[in-house]
Amino acid sequence: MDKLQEIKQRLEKNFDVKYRKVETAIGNATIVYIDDLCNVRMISEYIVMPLKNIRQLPETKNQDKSILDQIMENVLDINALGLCDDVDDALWHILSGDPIVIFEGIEDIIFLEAKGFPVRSVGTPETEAVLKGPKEGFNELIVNNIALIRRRIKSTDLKFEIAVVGDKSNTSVAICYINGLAPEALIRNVKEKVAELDLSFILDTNYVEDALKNQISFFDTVGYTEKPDEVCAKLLEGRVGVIVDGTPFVITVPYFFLENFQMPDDYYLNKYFTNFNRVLRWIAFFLAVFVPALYVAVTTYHFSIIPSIFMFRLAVSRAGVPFPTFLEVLIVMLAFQLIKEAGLRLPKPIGGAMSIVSGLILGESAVAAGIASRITIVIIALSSLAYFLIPKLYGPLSFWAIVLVGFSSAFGIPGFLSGVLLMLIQLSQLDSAGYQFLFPIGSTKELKFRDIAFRGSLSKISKNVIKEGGKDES
Amino acid sequence: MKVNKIIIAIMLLLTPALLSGCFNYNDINKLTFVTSIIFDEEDSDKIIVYVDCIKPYRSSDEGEEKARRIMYKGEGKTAIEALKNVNLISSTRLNYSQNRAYIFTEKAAKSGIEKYLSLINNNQQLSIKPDMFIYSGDISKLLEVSSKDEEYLGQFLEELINRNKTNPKAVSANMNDYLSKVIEEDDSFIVGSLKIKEDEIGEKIELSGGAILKDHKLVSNMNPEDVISYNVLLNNIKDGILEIANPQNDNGLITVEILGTNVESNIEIEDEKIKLIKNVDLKVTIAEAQSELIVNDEILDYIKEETENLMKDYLVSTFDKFKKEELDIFEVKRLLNINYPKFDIESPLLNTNLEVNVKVIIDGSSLIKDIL
Repeated sequence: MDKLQEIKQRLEKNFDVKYRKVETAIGNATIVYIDDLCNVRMISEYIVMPLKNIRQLPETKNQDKSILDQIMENVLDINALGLCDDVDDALWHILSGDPIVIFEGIEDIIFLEAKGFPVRSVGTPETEAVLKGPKEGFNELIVNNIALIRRRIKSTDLKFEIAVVGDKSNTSVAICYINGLAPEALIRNVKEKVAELDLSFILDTNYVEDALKNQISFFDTVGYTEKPDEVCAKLLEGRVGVIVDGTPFVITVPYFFLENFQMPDDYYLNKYFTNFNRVLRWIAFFLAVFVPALYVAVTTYHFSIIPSIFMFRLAVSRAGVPFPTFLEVLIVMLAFQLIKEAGLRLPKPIGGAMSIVSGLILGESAVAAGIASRITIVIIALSSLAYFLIPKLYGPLSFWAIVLVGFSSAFGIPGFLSGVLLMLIQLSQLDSAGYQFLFPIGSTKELKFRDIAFRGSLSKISKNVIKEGGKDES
Repeated sequence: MKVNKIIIAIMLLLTPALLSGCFNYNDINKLTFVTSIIFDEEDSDKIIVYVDCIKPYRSSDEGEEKARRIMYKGEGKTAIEALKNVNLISSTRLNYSQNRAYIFTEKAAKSGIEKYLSLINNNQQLSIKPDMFIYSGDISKLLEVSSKDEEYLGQFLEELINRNKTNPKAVSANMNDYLSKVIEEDDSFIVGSLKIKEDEIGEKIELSGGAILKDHKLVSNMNPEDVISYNVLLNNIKDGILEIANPQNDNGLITVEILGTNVESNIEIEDEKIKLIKNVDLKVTIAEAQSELIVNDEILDYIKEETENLMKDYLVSTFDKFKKEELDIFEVKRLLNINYPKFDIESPLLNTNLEVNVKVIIDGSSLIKDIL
């Protein structure tokens, strides 16, 4: 069976696979491509037409060159082209959007870059809005994403190593780093993890994230972003990024707990205002995770630490609630989670309005119905609002807030403190690509990570200038 | 390694259970909060306890959450029995975490309050932080007036004490102070005294002077003027007023306002006689002058001298008054123990004379001369 037959057989029952026969001076050629993945105009103008117009092969000084080499050099007007290694390689090219050309009686197959599938344009990332600074976001095409990074770091030390992952999906995965800045062990670690991926398909970076995380935790130990400027900043700090074709999110490792409190525009806004915002985010963290549990502990065990006037108000506020405090708190937390989830999933124009309306109506009705007290609604609403200031901690904080409420309702403040201790133990034993998650706490490893709790001067943060030969100047 | 981790996790989970032994889970709305406790006695040594409470409830008429004040009365042979009997008439559990005052009636105080101390000091639910008072008068009147005027008696008394912390006529003492004092050799202790003040406006609860407890019994009362002297001598005073005659007007008075005081205490022994020395630095300003007052060096010297003399007279007469009653409220024994631990004398208070050195500094805008 010749190669064309084999390809036809393996691609049978696909209506969009096209076989275009072209009669040329050197014999019949077949162009195989997938209709919607290729630029049809390019195929017509720069492949079909030149092939048809071959009357005779042009003379060449190098007589050793094969016919295909001569055709690729002198006939086909496509910028990127080459020979396929085998039928599998040819099929991969076809499925990636590259047409191939097979000449009758010639073993080798030519592939040509003429991709033309629909791609979302470079837009503003919805998940990481900024007040000031670059607004570009990645899209689903790996080459576009690589270009967005390359445009920002014009260095020969910036490396993108490609791998194909997934038996069925054959997805391109690019590992990027800056030679000389990223530790060798870190690069090796990420490469090994990607190479070890034994998957049939990979649709998002999360498949790689799972492989890079080796502990059970609600905390993300792998960073992700939609913003090319953020990826560049991380690469310049010596981290390694992973780009997966088909997703606008790029992951970076190592990723530290402190980074949850850093926002993309922290480096583009006034330093003092940024640090003020960071303090607010820390307050939000404590409000989100600790306040519901403290509320339960104090209002069920430790009345004496509440000022009398407030204490009586609390008691009066709960007078008509039939449920125990911890159950009431859990019900209200669940209601707020439902509202948040509904707000996220609904279309944007009605999602926000729905959240506000349902929050107000549900809160007021719950109080009127005697399901919850006003003070509980206020506490949980405050806690829920705080999540939005640190969106990357939404998952872990939701979980730990419930765990701490459980501990507090069982044992009061001693229980609450034990729960906090448990959370700290979990945090301190986590690592991200071999680095302590609580970096720089508990680690002697070095990384060019200069933005810790408070944002310092940009002249210090941006000091990792690469010198000739990839050496770090700092 | 894994076994160790499991053991640590179990220990961690058990730790709060051990630590929370003193507390129980209670829903805040299922409790009745006590704001003050009144201890009284009947002739037959029967102990009566009045508990002023706040109870949250949901009004079925208005569909709103509210709180109502409830007064419970319990009787028994002991204080704890009386308190336990209160539970028999209360639908919800009493919680004492918000208790702000222990009030002893004059009768209970005269009979001796030591029988209540064990309960207050050792019961896990009762705190030693609340203020303590002696109430002179009819108990039913106190309950009636407090229910009319103030929502919660305990809260009212706490605010009254906080507001009058710097008032020289007020005495504040809490149960913790008292329990610390009773372990000393001389346990004379002054607590705030409560009375019902009746005038044309109506009846009000008033903080009126102090009551002296010795050997856990009420032995004497202090009028507000004595309280001023007591507060000055123990350096408890931050403000106050003194009145002296206006030399520029026969019928008028000059009011001198105290801006601050500093009192240094010392004790000396001379020929088996004890001398309690109080060096009082008084910073004052001229607050008011009836009729006219032209400020000049002469009048300033006069005010200084008169204030010093007045203060001296006040202090010495108050000291002598309680010396006669053998009530060591000015802590002579304590000072003696600190400065002369080996000096042994019978009735040291009776052998003590007070030497007061008052230094008055006139300050403020009233110093500007040649003005009216």
